[in-house]
Amino acid sequence: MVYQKQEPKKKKAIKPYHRIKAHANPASDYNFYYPTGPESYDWTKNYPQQAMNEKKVEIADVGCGYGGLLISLSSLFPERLSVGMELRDKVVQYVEERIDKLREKHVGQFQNISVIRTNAMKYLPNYFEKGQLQKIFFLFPDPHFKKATHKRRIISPTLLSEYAYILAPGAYAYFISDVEELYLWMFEHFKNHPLFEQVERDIAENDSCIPLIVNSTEEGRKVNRIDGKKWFAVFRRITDPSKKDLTFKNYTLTSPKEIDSTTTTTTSTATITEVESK
Amino acid sequence: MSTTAVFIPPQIMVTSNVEKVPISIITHSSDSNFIAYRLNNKLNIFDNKLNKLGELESGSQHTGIIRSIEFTKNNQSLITSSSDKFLKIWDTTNNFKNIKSINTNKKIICSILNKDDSEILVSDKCGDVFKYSLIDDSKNKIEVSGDKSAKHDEKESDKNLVFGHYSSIVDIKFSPCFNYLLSADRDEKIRVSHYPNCFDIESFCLGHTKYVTEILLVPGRDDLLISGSGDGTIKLWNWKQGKCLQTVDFNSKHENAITIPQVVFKVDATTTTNQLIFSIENSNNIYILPMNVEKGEFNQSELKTIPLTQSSPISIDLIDNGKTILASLLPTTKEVDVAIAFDSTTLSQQSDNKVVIAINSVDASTTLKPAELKSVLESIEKKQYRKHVSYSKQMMNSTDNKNKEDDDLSLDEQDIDDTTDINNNNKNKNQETIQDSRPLKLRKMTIEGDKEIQKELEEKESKKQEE
Repeated sequence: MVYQKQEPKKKKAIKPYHRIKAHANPASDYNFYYPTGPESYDWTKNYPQQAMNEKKVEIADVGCGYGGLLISLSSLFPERLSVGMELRDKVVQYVEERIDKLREKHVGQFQNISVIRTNAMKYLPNYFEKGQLQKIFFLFPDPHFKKATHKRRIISPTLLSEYAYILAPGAYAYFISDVEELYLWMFEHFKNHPLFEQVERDIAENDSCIPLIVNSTEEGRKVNRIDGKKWFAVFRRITDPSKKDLTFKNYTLTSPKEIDSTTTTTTSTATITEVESK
Repeated sequence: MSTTAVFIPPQIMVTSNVEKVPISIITHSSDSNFIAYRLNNKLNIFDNKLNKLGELESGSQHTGIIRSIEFTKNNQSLITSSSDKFLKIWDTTNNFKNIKSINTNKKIICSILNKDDSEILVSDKCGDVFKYSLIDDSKNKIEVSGDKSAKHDEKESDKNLVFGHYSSIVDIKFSPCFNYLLSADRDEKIRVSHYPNCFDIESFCLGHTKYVTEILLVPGRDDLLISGSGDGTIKLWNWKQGKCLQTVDFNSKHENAITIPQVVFKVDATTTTNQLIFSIENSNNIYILPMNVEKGEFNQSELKTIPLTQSSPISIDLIDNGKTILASLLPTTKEVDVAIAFDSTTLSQQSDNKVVIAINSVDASTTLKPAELKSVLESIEKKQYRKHVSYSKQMMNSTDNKNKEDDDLSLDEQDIDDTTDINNNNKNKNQETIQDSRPLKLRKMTIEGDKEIQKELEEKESKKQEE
């Protein structure tokens, strides 16, 4: 397969070479490889130039899609290893190819990102040890609008316990969606889980990952093209639910930024700038 | 003991040859007064004091397959759960009268009682675990609505939800201190959660390559766990650390072995050896694997085998205060009994055992239809836990998917033009009302937009009715 560098039309860049389905059923049994446990997985395949006996993956993008966030994370955290996890095999092939091309073109760079084909709802504990991750991202997950398919949603009370298992205490979980109903679903589930609390507003607004989750993915750019709105939040993994601040006032972050009457003093100063990932 | 293990090649049975209804889930009370087992969807009791089978009221029996039978720790009650979505409490002091039935509204797969027998934890086929109070009915708030599509949302908001896996849970056990809950599922995981804070996962015991069949805790060693699997191994774990200490592979004895641990016991209190009784599916043997308790390891070279001539064991329990091994069999001919007993010390058969004589005297083969018998056997073999049982169907599905057209994920310019055209048509028809000019997909993404769309759909339907 010859990679076509010139793109006469942007929308045709992907489709002729990677015919990709929009949906995959996470409850099915797929015939892909997954390790029996974290100690048996060979990470050198994903990071050939990294010393994997000393380093561990710290950042996971669950449902990474076409890998836009991964590529941005590569330069934002050059010393940390990030991995994307995606269920659709053709999307994984595309991202692998994309990373390989970038590594060829920029020698020595993009060695800290990789992608794995797996079902994250089932097999995250097979890849990561307890408390291994520092950041986990859920960007524009499948809304599964029908009530009958809500059990396939990536955020649920029982799955949040597994995410809390692989996240270190103090680690952050990010999620964003262009579907308000799905955002509210995820927000309520994170808020109600005993091991997660929303971070303070100023921390979230100044987090260096926020511009990336808003603008660096194909899904995010698609929403920009159609003048859509995005909702996102950041939660912290805690260890003691009894220390949770019950008086904490939860808030909602949007892009474009919403004018909130209770925070008029900060409206003019807090501006999220777009970051071009190319 | 100087008995050497004699390996007899197993005879693989075909389930269509079963002539009698097998029994399973043999359970005994801790004071050895009662032995309970299931015969299809019927609970049966053997009374050791009266030396006879008890007669339970047929009107109180479950209407679905019984999934678990458990005596309370004070032996005053017996709790059964079933696929008919009911939990039933039977009074052992009053001729096993059914004193309570709890409708869980969930198809139960397995269950376990808590420390003081006030609550029972129940897992359904989706892998969620719920708790139900056996004492206080006000805690068991079960909402039943007509909207089937909202099942999952109701389940999540169910206050009885304790925790869950993403795949079916095969077995649940409490740790000896009752501060941890160990759950095994069909995706090869054994999960150790804190209890009652089940949202806090302590560890995962990962290492099996196929579904877990059963998990057992080791008496005398609170830190050890034994698991069996469809991959043909028996594993010994330090369950709190999630560390596999030892793996014993039985695939050399039986092709595609499926190991099912049944019970762990001590021959007598003076020895430092535990005995693990386990079976291999479709193998005509009962296996006994000794374990050195102090070292915490199996003695593989001392594996013992009790050969069964014509059938394979299903459920095995220890009765008579550990002196007798009671096993239920898969009867393939009318001459084969459904139960057999052995002395746990000498491993010799006890053909005069009263429990065995009583159980074998009941013949229920004529009461079942072939479809019912098939469902009984499938529940015994736990086929629903095995991946790729219908592998050929999956291959067919995958080939069908290749022929279908793929939808591009992006909403490109052409799609935007199409949706704007639709909106323009709507504007022409309803000039008086102000329409949101954004595409339909975009409007659906907000809650307000979704409501507006539903109103429009209702208006269209009313117009069609008028026409």
